[in-house]
Amino acid sequence: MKIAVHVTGSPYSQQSNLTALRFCQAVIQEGKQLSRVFFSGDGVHSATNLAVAPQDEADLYAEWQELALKHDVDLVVCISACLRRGIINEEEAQRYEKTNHNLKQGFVLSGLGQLVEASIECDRLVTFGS
Amino acid sequence: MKSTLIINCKPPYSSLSAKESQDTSLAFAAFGVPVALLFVGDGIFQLLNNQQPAPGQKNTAAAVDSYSLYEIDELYVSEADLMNRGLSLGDLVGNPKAINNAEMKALLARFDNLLTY
Repeated sequence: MKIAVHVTGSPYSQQSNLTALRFCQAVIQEGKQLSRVFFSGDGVHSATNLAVAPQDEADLYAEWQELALKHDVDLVVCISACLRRGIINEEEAQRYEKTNHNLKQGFVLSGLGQLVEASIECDRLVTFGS
Repeated sequence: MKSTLIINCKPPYSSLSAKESQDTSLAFAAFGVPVALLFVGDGIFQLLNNQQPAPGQKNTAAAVDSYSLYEIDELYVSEADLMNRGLSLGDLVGNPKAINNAEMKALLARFDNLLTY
């Protein structure tokens, strides 16, 4: 069973982001294939390297990143949603002449085509909305 | 090719939802995926004609004209939600079809993927 996940909820401000994360972790734990997580809308805030989680709460940023670094999950953030919200990698920072970039390691900036591809190739596409 | 139904629940200007849903619809269609759109609840307001968005906001109904170029020809609205808002099909752009709950159930079952905005 190949599962793809689409996240549009923002970390901490919307429950759906945490629910999506727990769902993804459960998919891996069950030994199913998590083919891709696609973040769009406010979900792209999950990919910032500048946010700091409160000490007594779950670090959603680190837990999302762990899916990529430890479990090799393809974490893709929608580029148009990211540009609007100030989540950029080094390449985009150069293109738009910004002095800084903040895309967290493990996340890939790409287009909506990645969501289309995931929806075609997976057995189930699960959306966690806002 | 798998088909995708994009469900729109949010009003046009209180969030980016409508805009990002439109971008997604066009992306799926551009990749040759059969796409249909369903508007429920306050999402119906996205199709309202004669919109006058505030300066700096894009008219969400204007993009609907381009759907036929992308072969997005199936637009549906919830009949009950339409009536509850005191609207009729004549108030909407895009020539949508009003469907009842039984028809909506059949519609949801017909598509391989559902995306909700």
